[in-house]
Amino acid sequence: MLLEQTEKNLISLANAEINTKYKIQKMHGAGSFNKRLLSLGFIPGEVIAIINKFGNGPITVNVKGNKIGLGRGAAAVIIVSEVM
Amino acid sequence: MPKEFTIALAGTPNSGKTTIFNSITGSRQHVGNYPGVTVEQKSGLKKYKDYLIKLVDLPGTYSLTAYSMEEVVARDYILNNKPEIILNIVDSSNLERNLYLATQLIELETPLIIVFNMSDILLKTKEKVNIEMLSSLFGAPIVLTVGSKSSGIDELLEKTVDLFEKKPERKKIIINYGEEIENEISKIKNLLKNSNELLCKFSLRWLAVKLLEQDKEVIIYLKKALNDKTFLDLSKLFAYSIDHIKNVTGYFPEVLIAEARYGFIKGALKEAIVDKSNNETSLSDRVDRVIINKILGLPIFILIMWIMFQIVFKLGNYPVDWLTYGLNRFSGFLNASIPSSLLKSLLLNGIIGGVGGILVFTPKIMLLFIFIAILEDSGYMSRGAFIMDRIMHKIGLHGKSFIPLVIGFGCTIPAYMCGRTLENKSDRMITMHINTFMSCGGRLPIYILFAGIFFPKNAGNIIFSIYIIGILMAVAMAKLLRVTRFKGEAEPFVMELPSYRMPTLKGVFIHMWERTWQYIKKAGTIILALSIIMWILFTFPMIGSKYSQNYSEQIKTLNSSYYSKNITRETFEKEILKIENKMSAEKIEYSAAGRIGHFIEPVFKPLGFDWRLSLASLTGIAGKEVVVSTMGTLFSLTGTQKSNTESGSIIAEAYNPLIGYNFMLFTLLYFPCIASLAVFKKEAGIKEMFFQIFFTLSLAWIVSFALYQTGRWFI
Repeated sequence: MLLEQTEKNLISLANAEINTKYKIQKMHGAGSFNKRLLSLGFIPGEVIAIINKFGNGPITVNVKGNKIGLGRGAAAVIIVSEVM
Repeated sequence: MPKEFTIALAGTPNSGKTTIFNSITGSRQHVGNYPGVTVEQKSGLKKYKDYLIKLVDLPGTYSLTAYSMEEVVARDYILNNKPEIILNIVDSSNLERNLYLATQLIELETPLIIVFNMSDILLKTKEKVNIEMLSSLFGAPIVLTVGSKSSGIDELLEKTVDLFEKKPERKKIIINYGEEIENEISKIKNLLKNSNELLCKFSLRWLAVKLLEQDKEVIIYLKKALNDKTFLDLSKLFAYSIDHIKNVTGYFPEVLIAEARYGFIKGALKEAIVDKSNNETSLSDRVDRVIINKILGLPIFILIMWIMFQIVFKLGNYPVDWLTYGLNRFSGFLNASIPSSLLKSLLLNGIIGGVGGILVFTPKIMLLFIFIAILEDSGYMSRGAFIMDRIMHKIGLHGKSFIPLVIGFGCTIPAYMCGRTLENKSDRMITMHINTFMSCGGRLPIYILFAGIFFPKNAGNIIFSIYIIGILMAVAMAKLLRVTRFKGEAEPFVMELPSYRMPTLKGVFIHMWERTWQYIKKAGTIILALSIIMWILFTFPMIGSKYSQNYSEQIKTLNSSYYSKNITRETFEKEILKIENKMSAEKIEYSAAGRIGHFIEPVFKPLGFDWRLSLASLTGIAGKEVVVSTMGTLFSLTGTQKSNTESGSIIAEAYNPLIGYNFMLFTLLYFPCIASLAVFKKEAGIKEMFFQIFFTLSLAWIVSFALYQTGRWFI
């Protein structure tokens, strides 16, 4: 579909850097949790950026102009690749 | 006769939906519950021209999937109650995400008006906005409003009436989900078309889309509505469809569907809106750099909580004192002006003592709810949840659990209701079960009484220690429940952090009042009833003349000795008091309450409680505040000549500090009150309610037992 299936450079959002643009590749959370992520705008192909990291814990992410707080566990299920 | 019709307000959380609702209805609101669940249903009436419009405020939702209770409720309302018109309130400073709900409302095929709220920000930040074009792309009229200034409301009502009257033929908008999905949709539609059991209230396309999204509620509905064979065929078909789509595209249909919806929105916005080219960071972002900073975040959070408690408990003392004073004057006045009778005793000791004693705490509860409303409306509450998530996760809870837990310091009832914001059932159950350990406002009078009597020098620290024990107990029990009854990880944390906003006075007031009203209602209904029952138990059977000693003779003797001027007035009054005390104690012991106290005493004996403390604990079930009035009845003088120092010294003589502390601990740990149990049952079901009773009572007993039996060796 929208994404080029480049298997390289896939990382989880939990390990992503601040102030860098990432493209969402896939999400492997539980079904109902994925639905919540989808309705908040976390969709494969979407370009997102981490606004703030709270130590090793939760992060804030800019998705479609909204600020979303994500816990460590939630960030870990979102797989992204860096936008060059 | 005005024409009547119903409109429902739908919108995402933080879209300003409630503000619009308040602007239209003003104070003519009614808060009830949706049938079967405790999700609040706010409705109001508006007379506009020749129309009587009923407005229903649906719960805020991001989507119409069946993810949370709110989403199911909002969807069911639209499908079952068929409001004539839906208003979709949209935060227009963020159209892309907010219109996601609109794409789903379009599919429900109910007449829709899209309300661009906060349109001032939209017009300020964009170069050009073509509302006419957006309106035709979405197939719905669009109205611009600014909720905080109540502007655009008249135009909104005008458009609403227009749509109701004319039902203009708008072209039906269908969002194209792409070839793969569309193929499967038509296959499912074909199968459904042939079955005539389906109610015509659903569009077949909508049902097909929901099936592909694996929507549990819709599947359950169809299972009931269709005959077995059709349902079997259908399950096979859509299971195959999902598999097929997954194989071809690599994604589940729900991902593709969400993508298509967002694609639709993106396309529409691109056509109709020209962006200004600016990239400056918003004020909200700059504030957040400090507020949710990794070093400052937690200290700031703790500071805000500390300020809140200081204001609620220090400042709140003044109005509570005034009310107490007024109430005492009032009952003093009644006491003097009504002749002695059973009715007077019921009025003074039963009703005013019970209900009044609880109502005087209203100012504190109000202050707490004002604070909570400000935190919520400003956008800080979700930041608090965000900051707390890491700590909460460590104890097996969710960041959002923190909000009900904080509210629990005020009153456990709204706290239980707030537990709904937790989507995951295990998270919700654990949060509710431990919420009782967040010492509620109703318990505070007990601590004030007991700490004041037994630890007059360190009362403040002693009370603080009780609160801390409560929190520690909550942490320990959360862990315990997580590994025993509610296994599994806490749901990952995901929550929108909305832009900071200045809370409006009206909004804060309405939020505060809704919650305070619940507290007052509890006092006026359940507590009133229980106070009367309690009074009956304390009054009957009457002892009559069956006292063990002839008290009236003793009083007579004293009287005569006073007249013979052998003693001072002070000693005389003290002596009289002593006799009257003994009398009332015997009276209570003889009553049903006294007998119950003696009956349950063996259970409480190992905790160091005698029959009076046992009875006081029992009456705490009605409401923890009641414990104080029970103690008053048990230990103080007859009628209204209550003097706190007198009864205080009697209590101090009857027990020791260990028992006093133990009693505070016991009241802290067992469930808050009967009204809270009723709410618990509504929110979590009867099984969980009984577990809560059993769990907290046994914990309270075990902890108090351990403390008393250990402490005995040291004193």
